[in-house]
Amino acid sequence: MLMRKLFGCLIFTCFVLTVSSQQIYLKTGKVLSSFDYQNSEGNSLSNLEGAFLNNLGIGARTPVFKSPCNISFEISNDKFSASSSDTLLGNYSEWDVSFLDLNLGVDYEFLRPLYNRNDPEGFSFCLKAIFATDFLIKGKQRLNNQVFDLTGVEEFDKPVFMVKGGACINYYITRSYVAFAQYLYGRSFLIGNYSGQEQLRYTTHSISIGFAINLLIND
Amino acid sequence: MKKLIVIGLSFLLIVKLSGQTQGINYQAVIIDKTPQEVPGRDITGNIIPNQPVIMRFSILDAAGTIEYQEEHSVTTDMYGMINLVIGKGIQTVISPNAFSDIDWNGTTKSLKVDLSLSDTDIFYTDFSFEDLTFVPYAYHRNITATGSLIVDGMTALKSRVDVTDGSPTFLSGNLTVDELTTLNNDLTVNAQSSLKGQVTINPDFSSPGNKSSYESYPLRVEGGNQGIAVKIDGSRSSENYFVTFWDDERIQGRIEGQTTTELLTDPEYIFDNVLFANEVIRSTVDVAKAAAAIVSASSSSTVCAGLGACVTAPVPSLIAGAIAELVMESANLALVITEPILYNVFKHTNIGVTYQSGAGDYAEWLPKSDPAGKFSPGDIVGVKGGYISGNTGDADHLMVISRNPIILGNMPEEGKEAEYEKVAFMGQVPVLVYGKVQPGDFILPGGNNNGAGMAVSPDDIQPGQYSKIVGVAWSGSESSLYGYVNVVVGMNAGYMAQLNEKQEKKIKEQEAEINDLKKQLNMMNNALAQLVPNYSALMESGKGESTTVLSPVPASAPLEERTVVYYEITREQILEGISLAEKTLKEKGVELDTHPFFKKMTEDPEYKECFISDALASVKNEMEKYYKDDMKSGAKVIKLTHDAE
Repeated sequence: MLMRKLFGCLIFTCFVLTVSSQQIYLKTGKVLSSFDYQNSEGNSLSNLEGAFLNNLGIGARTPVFKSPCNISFEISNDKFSASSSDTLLGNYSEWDVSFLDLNLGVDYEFLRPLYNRNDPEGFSFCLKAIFATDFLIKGKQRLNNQVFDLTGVEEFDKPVFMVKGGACINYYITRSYVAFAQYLYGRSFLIGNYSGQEQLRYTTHSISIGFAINLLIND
Repeated sequence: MKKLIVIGLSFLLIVKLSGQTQGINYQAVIIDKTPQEVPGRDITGNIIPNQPVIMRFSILDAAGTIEYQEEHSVTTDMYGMINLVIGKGIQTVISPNAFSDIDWNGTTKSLKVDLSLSDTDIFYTDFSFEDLTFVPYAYHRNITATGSLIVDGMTALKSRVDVTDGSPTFLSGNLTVDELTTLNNDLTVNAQSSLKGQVTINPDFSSPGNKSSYESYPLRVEGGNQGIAVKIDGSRSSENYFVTFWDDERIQGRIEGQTTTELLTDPEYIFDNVLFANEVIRSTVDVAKAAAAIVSASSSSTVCAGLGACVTAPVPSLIAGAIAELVMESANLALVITEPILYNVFKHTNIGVTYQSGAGDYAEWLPKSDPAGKFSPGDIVGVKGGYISGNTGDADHLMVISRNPIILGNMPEEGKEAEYEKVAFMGQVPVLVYGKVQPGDFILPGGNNNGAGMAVSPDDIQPGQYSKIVGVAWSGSESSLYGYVNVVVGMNAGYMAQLNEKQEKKIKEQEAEINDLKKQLNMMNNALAQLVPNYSALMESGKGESTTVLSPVPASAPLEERTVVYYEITREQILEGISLAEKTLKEKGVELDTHPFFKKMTEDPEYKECFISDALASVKNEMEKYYKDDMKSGAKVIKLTHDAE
């Protein structure tokens, strides 16, 4: 119930931000994803390897009362992949999933160049925290020589809530255009409805670069 | 992996009955029923490698009762596989049998397998439960089975079967062999055997062997109280040879069937009955003669000169002796009559088979008086005291050395055959004879004690030669020197009967002559009595016992008249004669208790009375004949009855 309320608030906020935002941006990058899995006996998967996959996102960002704090809303397509093998039993597993990622973030930007200066160029830095909800678009799982569709599978049939945190660096090209790069570490809440000790989380490391356009410029 | 719900994916059973291994090979891959948990779909069908486990095997019968149970502690290999032999594990305490004692009787057997994934904290879970089934098709090059092989169904063996190591073979059911059967060792049959084919016993004797040795005979029948039974299909006749004796040349003898018709036409049977008839005739004559002797003994004939005839009484002892003679002759007649009856009853009762042989005589081994004596077949020998010799002069019996007897009795002891010779008792036997011989001639010893005989014609035979008759020639010889003729021996009774008849005839002729002489003598006495005084007294003084004058002769009788007095024989005299006959026969060693005549006389009073009546009637008849003869001769005849006396 709580997650539903949060999800509702997120949708509403995104809508408001979208219509009232001062900056929109486009980003792309690589995401290194992995499962943080523990079975019912408390054992982790051995030989679990993640993979770098592309992501692409678009978002809107607006300052909060002209303060260094900004809130943002971003829609992205995140692709996760991981593989694992069991040398004892001889099993091999591989996952490839693609999510629609709704991100609601807040960042604090410091060392930002002043707008009233004639020379708007310059770097700024920010710290960023995001609450994200991922929806599975498509996914497949390979078990040894068999491939299964993950649609409807327990862990993947519900939205995945994640929190992400990281840092970014912006470069103000002009007063209207900004290039940025960021690193975010993400970790999901528990996925699925497991009993006992079994639990699953995602962990992500994403590196992105993007280009933002300021829609409203105030002196 | 705490969830120990495990199931076997597959297992392979191989029944292996080889070498030192007695058990069932068992291989299985243990699969984890709990899937491996991974994100997304879990992985199922995982093996359990390198896992110490305890397998418990239970073999159950059709009712689900445990027949055998054992445990194996084993560790799965890297592929999750176990490989063990059921039957080599540790038998549990609840197992009722050892593995080797399981009765694989063809009924349903099940294998229940339980698995414990811990060898310390044992907790069994069901692993599998399968019926033990037969392999549908099994192709083998060699099968070595050290235990028992039990096959409940049909077994088709398309090649030879060898049972080696001297192992016995037992068959509780029927054994049918379509082809030849060769047995290289002894055959023991403990039950009845039915052989529908021809049986040939052809022993592989390297040498003929000792004919007196039991081991030399190919067919030996022993055990029980009877020997060999031969049964033919249907009723028998002379066309059925029960047993036939062959040599390399031909049939030498046989035992064949015989019917009543064949018996009645059998020459030997006819001959025997002729002999019996002759005996009956002769014995009947003897009885008649004995009756006549009684009449003679019970009568008295006296010639009295002078004033009258004198009458003398017969001697009582003579009468009793004559009656006893009559009794004994009657007993003999009874025997003679009984003998052919018994013979015919026996022949008809025992009719069935007859023995035929190329040989012609029945013989027995008789000891030689001189064991070194040499005899040849056909030699006439003398028997004295049961011993044979070439001396025929003072022999008790004269017999012939047999050449080839059909039956040979009185077999001597082993190794003493040289001290005996085969002597013909009855039948046809070749006899060495000197001179010409005609069939029917009597063969007598030649007198030179060289074994050769001589022929005497029946017309030339003399009573003194009767005791020397060896037999009668049934074949002739034209040789004037030595030759062999076929002589029938042992049947002299018939020929003697013929000779007796001749003698009887001669005796009667002589009796008639004697009677004539008696008459002439009486006439002479009468004449002398008239011429010589006291002639009658002189004659009476010379008669001894017959001197008692019973009654005076009437004075009116003529002087020359012969007076004959007949005394009637009484029943008491007959009884006295019977007692005298019994006493006489007992003294001769005759067993009266088994004698058919005297036994019946003792046991059957009616028969005894009948015999006495017949004897009295017979004597009376004889007396009447003499009475008439005397009447015709003009003699004075006086009949004194017991009442008149």
